[in-house]
Amino acid sequence: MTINRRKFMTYSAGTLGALALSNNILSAAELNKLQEETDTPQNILVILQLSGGNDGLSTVVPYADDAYGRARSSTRIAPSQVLKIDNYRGLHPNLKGLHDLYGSGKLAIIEGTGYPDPVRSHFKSLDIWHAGNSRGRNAGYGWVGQTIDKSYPDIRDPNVVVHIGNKTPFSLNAAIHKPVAFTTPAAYRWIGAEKDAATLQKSAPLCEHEKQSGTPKSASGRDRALARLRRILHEAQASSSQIRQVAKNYSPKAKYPRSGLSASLATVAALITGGMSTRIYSLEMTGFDTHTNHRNKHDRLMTQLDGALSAFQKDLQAHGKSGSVTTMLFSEFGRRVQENGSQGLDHGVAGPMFLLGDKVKGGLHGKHPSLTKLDKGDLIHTTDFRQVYASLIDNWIGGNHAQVLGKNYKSLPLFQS
Amino acid sequence: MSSMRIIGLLLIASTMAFGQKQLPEDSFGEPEARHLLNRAGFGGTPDEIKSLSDMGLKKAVQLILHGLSTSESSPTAFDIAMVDRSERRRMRSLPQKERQKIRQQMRQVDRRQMARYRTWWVEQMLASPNPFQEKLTLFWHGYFTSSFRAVRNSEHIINQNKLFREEGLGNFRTLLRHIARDPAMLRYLDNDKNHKGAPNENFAREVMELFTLGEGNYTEEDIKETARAFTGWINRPGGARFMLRRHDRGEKRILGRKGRYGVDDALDVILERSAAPLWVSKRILRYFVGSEIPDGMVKRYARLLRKNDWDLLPFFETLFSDAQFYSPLVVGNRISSPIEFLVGIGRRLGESPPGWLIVTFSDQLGQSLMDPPNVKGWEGGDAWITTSSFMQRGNFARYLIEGFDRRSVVADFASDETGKMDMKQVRSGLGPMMRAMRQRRWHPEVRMRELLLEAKVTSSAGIVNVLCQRFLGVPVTEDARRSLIAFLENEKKSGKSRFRKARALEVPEDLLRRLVHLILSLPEAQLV
Repeated sequence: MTINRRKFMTYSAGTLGALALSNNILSAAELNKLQEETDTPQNILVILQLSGGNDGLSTVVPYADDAYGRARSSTRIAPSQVLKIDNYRGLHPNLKGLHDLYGSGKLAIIEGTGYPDPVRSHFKSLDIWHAGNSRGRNAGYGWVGQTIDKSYPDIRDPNVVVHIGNKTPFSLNAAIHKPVAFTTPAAYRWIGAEKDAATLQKSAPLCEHEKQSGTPKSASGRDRALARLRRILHEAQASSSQIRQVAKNYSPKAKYPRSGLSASLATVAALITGGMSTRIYSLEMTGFDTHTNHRNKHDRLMTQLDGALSAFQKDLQAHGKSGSVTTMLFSEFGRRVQENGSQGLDHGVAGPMFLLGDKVKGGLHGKHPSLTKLDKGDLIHTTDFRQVYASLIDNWIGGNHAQVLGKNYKSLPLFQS
Repeated sequence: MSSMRIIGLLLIASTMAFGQKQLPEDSFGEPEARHLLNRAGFGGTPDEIKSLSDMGLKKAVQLILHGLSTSESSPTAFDIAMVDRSERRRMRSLPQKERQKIRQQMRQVDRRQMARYRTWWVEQMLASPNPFQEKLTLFWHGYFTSSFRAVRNSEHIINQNKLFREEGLGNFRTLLRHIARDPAMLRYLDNDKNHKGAPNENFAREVMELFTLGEGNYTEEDIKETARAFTGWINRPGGARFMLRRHDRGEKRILGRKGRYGVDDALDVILERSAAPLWVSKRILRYFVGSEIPDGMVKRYARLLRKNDWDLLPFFETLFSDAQFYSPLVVGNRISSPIEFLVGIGRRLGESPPGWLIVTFSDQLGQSLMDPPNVKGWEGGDAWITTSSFMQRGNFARYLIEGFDRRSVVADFASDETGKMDMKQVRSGLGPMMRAMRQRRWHPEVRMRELLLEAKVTSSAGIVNVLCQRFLGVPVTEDARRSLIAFLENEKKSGKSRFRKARALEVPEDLLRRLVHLILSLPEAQLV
């Protein structure tokens, strides 16, 4: 199902057609380059953020730990319900699909992830995860943005990083590869009529400046700004048509349960199986801030998560794409070990991360945090989350993690060698 | 304020001695007046541009600086409802559930008030007789930035905004001193946690790096020592308070000077450095002049700041009369921020769309008022335009020009064949926009046809010229003009739109609006 060159040319006929007509064709070299970039990349990373602070102890349950039962009188998951991994821990009862994937070695669980001097504010902690730096946003760019900028500074394709959702997370903040963001492909468009879009393209012919007075670098003021804007206008129309076209042609080969996450993951599957050149997809699942009535809420979330992720994985596999996709799950923090007075859990610190995919080295990584040796009632992290980033950067996305994260972290063996 | 203004006026004479070339009076025409309105405000109608140009440079600049309206009309006031925080103290004795409920209620009241203020501010930008005050407030909001998300207190954020409104054209040193004891800033950059024996360097660092000197003009040691001078400030109900026992009274060494400095002393030491006026003038110029600042300008304006002991009025007075400000390198080189783009459409149309609509659209385009992305404020410039935001700007422009109701929005996005995606998904996909537009509608009263009648044009070329002039901040390029004329001619030939003889009266309104939608989707529409 990869887009081959011929297929891309048929897209071009539609999307870049107006361009050709207006006698301002991309140079042959540029077109070649775009086509090359349009082949599906080898390694795709899907980042799923569990927003609100997912409780690690209800996800990977230390059912055999007495301290767990003592701390969690109302939210405790009974040992008989837990989907066992070993004689200490097991997965939440609603994570059946993920438990199967764990069994077939496709799910890596990194336990006890966190960072020094933990912050319990949602947004400050998210910023640290997004930046991969304790300075948070003030560090400048996001870890994904920096990785892609540093590893692929020459790619011209506008679709390298795609976020499914309204608010782009800070992790994608980049100097070169700004993310494309939309909630659904249908919303990623200019709403004028097709022929009006053609008028727009003719109104902003490409390379006008290059033709008249050399390279765009020599341009200044308004001319420089216009040249850049014209290019983006054409890229936007091409990218929008391509994404909508790919989404339209997609037919899922797995049954997705009904949920927001399912819809978003199905969109990602559509773009991957449709041969988009995107290397990073980002999406978000909300609702994990379970201060009250934790058990009910979290149970439902686990059902949705499991259903959507299992379907996604099945869909990719049926399309022959599961080998090139790794999905990473993270949350801004775990939750307090001790329950609060409303059958809920307050903000905590360490929690597990997950990696899912055919190339992932399945099993347990890191170390489960102690439930008795706590810091102000919170789990102490055993693995810095940037060790996971380091492994993703070095062994999956391609790059040098020290350049992105500003220092060396001990990379974890999360991928099959 | 008013005494400030008088002093400012007296200073005009002295500012002229700084080597900058003033724009000759006879070079100030409509293009220059348009540029002035674009940069000092949010653009204007042809009438406003013309009357500004007619009165000549000197008078136009004074009017811009002190408000376009001659009457002493003050903007509508915004009444801050005090969120009752006294509950907090009593809360400790309550059971957890009760506490949580009260906390949630307080947060909700707070969020609503913030939302009201955002809308109120946008309405000022749209209709205030003093658009420069709004523009300047927006500038300072991105300079000494604090975000509601981090501060979580609408009163603090609103009061900070009021500070910018009141002192924005006053004196930079005074503004900086206010900021150092501003409750929102104290919390945003943690200076309320900076006390003797337990220093927090966050604020000290940003004061030097972003507010006054710029990187490379201080050492880590300077930051540590300055943080000590900044100790002792905390937030209490009613405002910031200085607690002597939390203040480090020892001797500090800052930037080669030595003394038992407090906050104002330390700021004075910093502002004494030659890097300070250079940095501040560069940041102001980058905003008002654009990313390409003509040679020598930064230095000249730094000298001007120094000479006037950091008074800002002479700075802007000189800038808006400066020949370089009107040079081809500067005019039309700046990418509008989402707020500038959207408010600009209302200002140029001559009819204000609802404030909430612009707030919603601007959020989607990446500029959430009161929630800048980080302490550097908005990056601005090229960063505003991505493939998605470029298309969305065009879409939102259409809703401001043509109006909308909920049904029409869904139809717009779903009209394309969306494959397996059903209408429900489109609806949920449009997310916050749809929620905000729910049950609400907006239909502007201005008819494009009337605009053409006023201008007395009939030909396709005339129509394109008038509407481009009206809605673009910069002249339309020849390519765009030709293609828009061809578009009109084509529609005429196809006859579908009952476009008979090219008499303006008979051009269907919907076709004209389609044309304006195209104009506002052009690269030119992103520039001022």
